[in-house]
Amino acid sequence: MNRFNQSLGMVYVAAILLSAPGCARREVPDAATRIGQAWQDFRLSEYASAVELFGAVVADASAGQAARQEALYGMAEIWRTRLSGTDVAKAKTLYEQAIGVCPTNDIAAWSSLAMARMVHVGKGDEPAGADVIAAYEDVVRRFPDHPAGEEACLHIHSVRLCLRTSNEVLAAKADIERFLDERPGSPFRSLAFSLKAYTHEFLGQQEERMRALIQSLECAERDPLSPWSDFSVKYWVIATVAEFDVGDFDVARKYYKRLIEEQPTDVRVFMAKQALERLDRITNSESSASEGVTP
Amino acid sequence: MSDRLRTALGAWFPAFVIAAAFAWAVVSIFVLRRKEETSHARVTLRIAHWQLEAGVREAVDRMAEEYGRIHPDVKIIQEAVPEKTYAQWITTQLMGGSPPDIVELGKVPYPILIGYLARYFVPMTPYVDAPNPYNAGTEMDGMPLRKTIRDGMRSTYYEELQEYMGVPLSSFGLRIYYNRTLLRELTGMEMPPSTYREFVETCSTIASKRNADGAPYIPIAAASIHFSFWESMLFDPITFPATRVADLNRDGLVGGDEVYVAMKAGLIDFHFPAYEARFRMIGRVTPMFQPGYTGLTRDEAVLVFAQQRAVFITTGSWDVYSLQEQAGGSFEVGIMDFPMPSKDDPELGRWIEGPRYENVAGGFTFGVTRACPDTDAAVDFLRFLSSRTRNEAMNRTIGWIPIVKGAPMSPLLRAFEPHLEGVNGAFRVTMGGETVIRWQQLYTEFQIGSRTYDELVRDYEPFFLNEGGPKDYAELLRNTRRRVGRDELFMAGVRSRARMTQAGVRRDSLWIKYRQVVDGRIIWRSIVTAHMARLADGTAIGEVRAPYRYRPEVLARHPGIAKALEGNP
Repeated sequence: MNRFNQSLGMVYVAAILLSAPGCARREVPDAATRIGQAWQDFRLSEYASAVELFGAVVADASAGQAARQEALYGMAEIWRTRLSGTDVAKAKTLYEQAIGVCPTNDIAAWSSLAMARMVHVGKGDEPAGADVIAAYEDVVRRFPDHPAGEEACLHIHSVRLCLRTSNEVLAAKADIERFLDERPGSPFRSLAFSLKAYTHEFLGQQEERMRALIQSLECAERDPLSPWSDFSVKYWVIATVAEFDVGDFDVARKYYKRLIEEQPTDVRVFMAKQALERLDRITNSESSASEGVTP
Repeated sequence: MSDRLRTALGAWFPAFVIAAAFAWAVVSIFVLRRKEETSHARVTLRIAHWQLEAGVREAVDRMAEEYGRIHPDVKIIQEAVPEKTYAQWITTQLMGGSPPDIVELGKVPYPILIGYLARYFVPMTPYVDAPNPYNAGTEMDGMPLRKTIRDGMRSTYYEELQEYMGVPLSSFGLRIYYNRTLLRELTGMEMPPSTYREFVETCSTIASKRNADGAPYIPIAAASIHFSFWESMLFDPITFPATRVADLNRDGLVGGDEVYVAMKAGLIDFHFPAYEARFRMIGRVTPMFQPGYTGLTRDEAVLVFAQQRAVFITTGSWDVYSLQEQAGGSFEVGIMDFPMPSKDDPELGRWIEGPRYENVAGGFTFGVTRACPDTDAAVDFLRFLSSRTRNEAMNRTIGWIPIVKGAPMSPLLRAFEPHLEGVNGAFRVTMGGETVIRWQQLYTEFQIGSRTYDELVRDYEPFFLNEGGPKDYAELLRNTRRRVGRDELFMAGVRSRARMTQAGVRRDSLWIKYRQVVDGRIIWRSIVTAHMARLADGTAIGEVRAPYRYRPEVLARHPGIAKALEGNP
């Protein structure tokens, strides 16, 4: 038995020595790879892993400023948006550090918007007011032509429209019209037109409201990779505003028909067909009346 | 045996046992691997589901065999897991990293399903616009996959992910099954009643008859679960006219929050005529239900139907074959649509505007897991199952409704042809815990006839408007704000992908998704919520009007409106 045990011991030692080459130093992935993996982990809700990877990039002196800024931004996003264990104070510090690396680039813009969003969302049940608008205005001032700055504009409009006082709606209307005038190529034009329509509704300007809704539809973005572009609600709203609020039955008919043709199994199709019949009855009644004939 | 030999054996026995076990393992693995290698399969795919109903496993096996004849290098193995344990089983499989390759989606709470889909499943979006190769030579040759599916695959598109995540293989519906033999015997009718009035009269006739034991026949077998089927399919459609008053966000649908706000704003109340008509219908039909139905289970209702003590029962298309089995050849089972009031019904005709709208939602939906070693093969099998001829064949074997457009159904299932044009109900008077509990208490008393509608309204309306309703509405608003957190997380994820993606169509698509979330979920939701809250608490500035009423200036501009609306919607 002693001889057996001695043999077994030699086998163990041999196994350890043979496996030594497998323990050779592994290469550490570069910063870009770690950042990519960290974002992937973030999207899969693996926050601990994502924070660790971003943190490793921040701590890596060889990573470069761009990578460090991205990692700081990534960590900030995690602490701001994770569903459990949110730490807005930590997120704010990290956003500020990211901005400090380079205050004028893409990450600085998104970080600034994120901080303004924290001010807004942090209001909770309290209505958003001047302090929230000021936070967004700061983003617009520093990044007027960046998508984050444009988005901040729209958040300002939204805050004003939520307050829904005459002064705020008028201010929002003026701002929105300026946005549309000054930014003909903005991808947010469709949203801006729909907000404009809302201001017209509040002010009792139904024709302008209808026109703005149509303009919103006409510049609505279609995702090239998503076959699902369902504008049935947009068509329905335009058609019903045209019929009930403006009295423009030609426009109403046009959009009821578009809804029926493009979304034949939509829940609103029955109502759209009812509407077309109703409009025909109205038109026939008016034609008969003008001819002096009882229908 | 000598002591020395015994000692030697004792010392070596453990080593001998280990060596023997090792040898057995080597031999059995070697033998099994030889068996697998002889199948010539390049890839083996596992497909898992919870459908243990008669016919499903047989149908999937047949499809797997047929697919294997076309693709001998692919082997499909089916795993049918009991419904009760499916959620735990699939969770373990996914988290353990060894899930089946093709998985039926469902049985877990929706937020968890979204998480699973994002983490463990392959998006189907890249495949939905490509033609299904297995439709070659049919009228669907060259048609994108999603356009061949009855609901356009809408049921598998997840807004939270902005992706299609599965392929549906069947659709389902609700109808009334009836004992054709007994109907003929008790009423002399060869065809089932086609209108509500006729149905109520038929039920009265049935209730007046006695069986051989002297017990009355039950017109409608029912359990507590069935009441909601009758509600959604027969009683609710008559409330559709309330949409014109309560659809405050103008999306064509009415939610509980909208009814609450419309009532608070004085636009509608519980005595809206169409609402009262609904409750008159309930008061006429539910006395025809099985006595004590509110406390009965589904099986108790099915038993009464199977024992030929009742004529009608409502359930879904999934029960077609099981009810026929229950009939066991003793009686003939028929299927009829829910009998709506006719337009000339003296009491209800003026409120009924159309049949119940049925959204053809696909079911029996499968997704492909990221762990699958050959995603293309798995997707190809799903295309095979959702092709025109195979989908029809598979569903015919199971007895379900095909999901592919134009695929014929068995004659018995034709009654399930959905109403793709119709109306939705507009009576929703609960919003959360407070209102649900109180409503259920009072509503149940109404259902069993111990409370009239006026008494129900007398006791519920003040609670809805001034006590439980405001609490539930406030909670609803808080939940809307809490959802912003989830939306911010989603947006952060999409933004990170968009920023990290090279310029091109994919990046454009991601940025568009991002902006659509900013538009619909962040900005517009906050505006609409704020507006509705003002309508509810009476602080709304400006006119509060029903959404689908002509403005005075429009009436002035179009004098024909008044005449055209006489007696018409």
